[in-house]
Amino acid sequence: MTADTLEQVVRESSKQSPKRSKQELANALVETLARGAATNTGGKPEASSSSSSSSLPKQRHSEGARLMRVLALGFALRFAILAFSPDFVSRHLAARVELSTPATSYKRLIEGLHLAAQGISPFDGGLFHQSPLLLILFRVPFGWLPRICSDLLFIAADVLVALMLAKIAAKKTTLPGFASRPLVPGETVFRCSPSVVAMLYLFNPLTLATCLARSTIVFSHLATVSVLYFGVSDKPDLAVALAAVATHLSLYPAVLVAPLALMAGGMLFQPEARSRSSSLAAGAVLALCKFAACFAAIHFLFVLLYGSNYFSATFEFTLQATDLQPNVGLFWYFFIEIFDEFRQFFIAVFQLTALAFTVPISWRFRDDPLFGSVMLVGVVSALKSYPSWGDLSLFLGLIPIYEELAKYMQYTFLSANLLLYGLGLAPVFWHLWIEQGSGNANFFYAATLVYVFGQITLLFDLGSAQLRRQLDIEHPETRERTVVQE
Amino acid sequence: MMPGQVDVGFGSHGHMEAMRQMDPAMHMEGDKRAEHVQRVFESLGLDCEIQRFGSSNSVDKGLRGNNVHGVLRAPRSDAVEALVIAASWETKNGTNANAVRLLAGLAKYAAEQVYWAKDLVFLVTDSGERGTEEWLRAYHGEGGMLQVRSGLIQAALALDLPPAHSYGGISLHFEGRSGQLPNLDFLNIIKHVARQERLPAVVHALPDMPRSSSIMEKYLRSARLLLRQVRAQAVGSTVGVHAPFLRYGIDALTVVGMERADGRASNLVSVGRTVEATLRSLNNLLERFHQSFFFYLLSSDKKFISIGNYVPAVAMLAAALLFHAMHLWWFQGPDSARSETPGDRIARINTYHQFLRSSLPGSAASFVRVHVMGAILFAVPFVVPKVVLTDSTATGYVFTMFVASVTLILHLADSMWSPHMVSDWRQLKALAAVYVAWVVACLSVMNFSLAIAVFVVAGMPLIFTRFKDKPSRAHRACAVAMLVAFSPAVVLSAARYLLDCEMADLSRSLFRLFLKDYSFFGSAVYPLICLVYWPVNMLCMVIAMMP
Repeated sequence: MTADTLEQVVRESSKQSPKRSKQELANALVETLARGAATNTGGKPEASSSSSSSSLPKQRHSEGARLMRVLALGFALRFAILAFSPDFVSRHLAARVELSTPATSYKRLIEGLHLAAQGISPFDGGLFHQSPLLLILFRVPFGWLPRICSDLLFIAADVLVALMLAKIAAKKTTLPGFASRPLVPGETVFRCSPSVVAMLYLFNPLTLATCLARSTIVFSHLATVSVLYFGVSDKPDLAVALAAVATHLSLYPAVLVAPLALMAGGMLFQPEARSRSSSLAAGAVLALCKFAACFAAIHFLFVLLYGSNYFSATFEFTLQATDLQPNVGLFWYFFIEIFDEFRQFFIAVFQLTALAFTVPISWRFRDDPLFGSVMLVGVVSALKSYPSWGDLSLFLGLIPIYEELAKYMQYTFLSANLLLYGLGLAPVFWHLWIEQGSGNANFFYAATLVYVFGQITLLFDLGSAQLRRQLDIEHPETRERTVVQE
Repeated sequence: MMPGQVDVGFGSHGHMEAMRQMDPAMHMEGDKRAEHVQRVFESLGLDCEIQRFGSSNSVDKGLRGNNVHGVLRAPRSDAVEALVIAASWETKNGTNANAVRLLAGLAKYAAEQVYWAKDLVFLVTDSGERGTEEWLRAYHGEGGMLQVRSGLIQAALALDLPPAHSYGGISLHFEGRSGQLPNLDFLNIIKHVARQERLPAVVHALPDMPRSSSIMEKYLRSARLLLRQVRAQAVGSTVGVHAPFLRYGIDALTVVGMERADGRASNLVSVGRTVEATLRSLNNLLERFHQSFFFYLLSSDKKFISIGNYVPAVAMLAAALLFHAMHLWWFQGPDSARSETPGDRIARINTYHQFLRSSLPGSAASFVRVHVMGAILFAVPFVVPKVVLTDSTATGYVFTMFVASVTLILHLADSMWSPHMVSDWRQLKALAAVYVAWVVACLSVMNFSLAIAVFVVAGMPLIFTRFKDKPSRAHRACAVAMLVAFSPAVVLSAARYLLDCEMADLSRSLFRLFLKDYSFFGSAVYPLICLVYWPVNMLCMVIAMMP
């Protein structure tokens, strides 16, 4: 699709009726983009030998332009809503527990910035639990610039996440580790074009709501996708440093170190080196050491700046799940109910559930550490101690990068419905419980369970799709046989 | 709470005297009336305040009024909890002077007693639910605080007594604006104490069946009773002065006196004694009502259906849509994607996903477009100047938008016919069914009746929209005719006959009524019509006309 067709769309929709709003125009644009992308990438059946990286330069150019349009539209939409209807945002989005948790709330960030500006350590009270990095980042826009500038930071971070996702999607088709990989014989390769990946992230209502609620999870997302991007662009040092930053922002991205170590060990870039396990081990260990060094360096910097109690206010707070404000995760209800003497034990059990998948998943998908990372992002989003809808939005944003798995997924209908009901019932039950007083906590927790179950189903489906695709690649002869059970 | 365990004392000469003090107010208007009520309340020893309110909202122009409330401070506690007894001067039965008089009598009586553990707030409002809402906002500190306040309101009782000398019974109305219900225990208390006063309490003014009537008659009465509740709960309009209280999480209901011609009936005093006994029972309430009884349907005056029994019904409705969607989703796409030979498997899967990729953006775009249309429908009344919006322009607006949406439907269906467009009606129908099932299921836990209503107007036509791959022209025409019959414009015009006698007036616009309910009381009906029902109806028409 070229710019001409886009212009035509613009002209058509403005001609058709003067009543049509700008938003509809935008929708028409987006839809045309999606259609163009679908016909662009889907149409050509490819043999196993030719990879899809051999697209024409002209097409690539138009792809870039399309990506820029998507990003600009996403930016404009967010900016318009934040600038013109702040009332709507503050009334319906800002205080939603599904969107902002004690560890990511904008209100608490403001509080922390005020305290820091007054020369009081924000980590002394029990209120502020976000990384000192955010205090440094927001110092200037909050202190000296109008409020819209700090809003712009959130929007920019969200748009950058989309850009990074698009770049990962583009990178994935050209990487030696992927390009030299055999495909399933006779397969039509479906690949989401980068602009569509960006669009699916930016115009996901969950992402939109998270960004408008100004949840600081956006910055953690940015660090996370940057880790993945620099990981797949063969810059392991930068990736490891960013992983340390991401860990400081929300702790759980630390699990990405495992797939990152595999990437650093050369799993993606020298496929022939796979047999040489010694170089892999050396690379992995080195990456781990670098991560530890970066983490420690940032830690000492923060200790110098804000004193050592920042550590208990952020990391310990996340690990111990001290604040039991309801959210869409599994922790709060359980730890309200539990007796104090069992608390430590179950904290360990719950956190291990979230973190223990790191090594097995990374190792099982060691041929493709990027896929391992996507799975880990999903695991973290379902099982972390202060999850929000924003975590799911990143996971959902990463899935289109692996569009070739779509036809191997069997439970899409189930997981999509579970997620839909989990998302829809949470505000309803919250209303019944908190605003109406006619429900109770069990209602909201039930919606949470449906939501987490939906995510687990999706994860399970995605993982088994990847494994079955690998089976098809390695043993193509099994595919055309009928399984008869006796 | 021991309902009916105390001796009631209302009805002495002094109380009658207090009631008569209120009489001159009946012939006054506006500020003078409010000031008279305040004088009477103050003479009885209440802390009084007049709240004057005027509307600044674009939907309802120039509504003004006064609320007078008097607080009787509880001798045995420190004003942390309160009970409200409210009456409005104007109700749908005409004047409500008897209720205001009764309020004065009750205030006189209550001031003499020493056992109150909760403050009693007597509220007289000018303009029904609207006034009550304004008062509640001010009481809770929105837009100007009231000076004379009390504590947390635990329960509220609204009185609606048509001008009569004697009442043959009382009728209870309890649904809120968004389908909230007061606790069932509250209803049971009133029924219990009313029976002791020989003042039969019935629900929704449906007279009780004599014991000798047949099972069939009893069954029909139950069915009618359920239907009235479902109607009131789904629409939530014109239910009574108590409705705004429920939105603030306060258990509330309206007691309506039922007139009776023969002389064997009770007089105003026995209504007063019923209220008194109810108040004393509520006075014993320690914390909140028990949480188990907020969701129910009453199948007769003494029987209820709890949420555990009726939610499966609506879950089955949603499940029907979901199974239908699943079936359609499996069978979408070209026939070549469904061959059974194992050798074709790869080609088959590739065809299927090729189809999905190229058709999903089109379906998603149709979804987005009809919703944008709905959003425009939703937003325009809030943008136009307030003088423009009357009943007749609202009706005109609905039909204009209907015509506009028809052009969009034709455009969408037409674009589906173009050779470049890959589309399948099964996919669009499956997505629409998943969507409606989701809305119905999520609504059902909050407002069962509204969920049923959404299913009837949006889900049922969707199921019957299309069955065959290549329907004949007659089939398509029938489907479109059915969808027009179920379209919001037609349903909104026809529903007035089902709702209430006063709504049967042709000049009234239901659309405007729902709009008002939404902007004042946060009722969910208006957004549902604009953002779910209208778009789904449009989608159904597109499905009926697609290739």
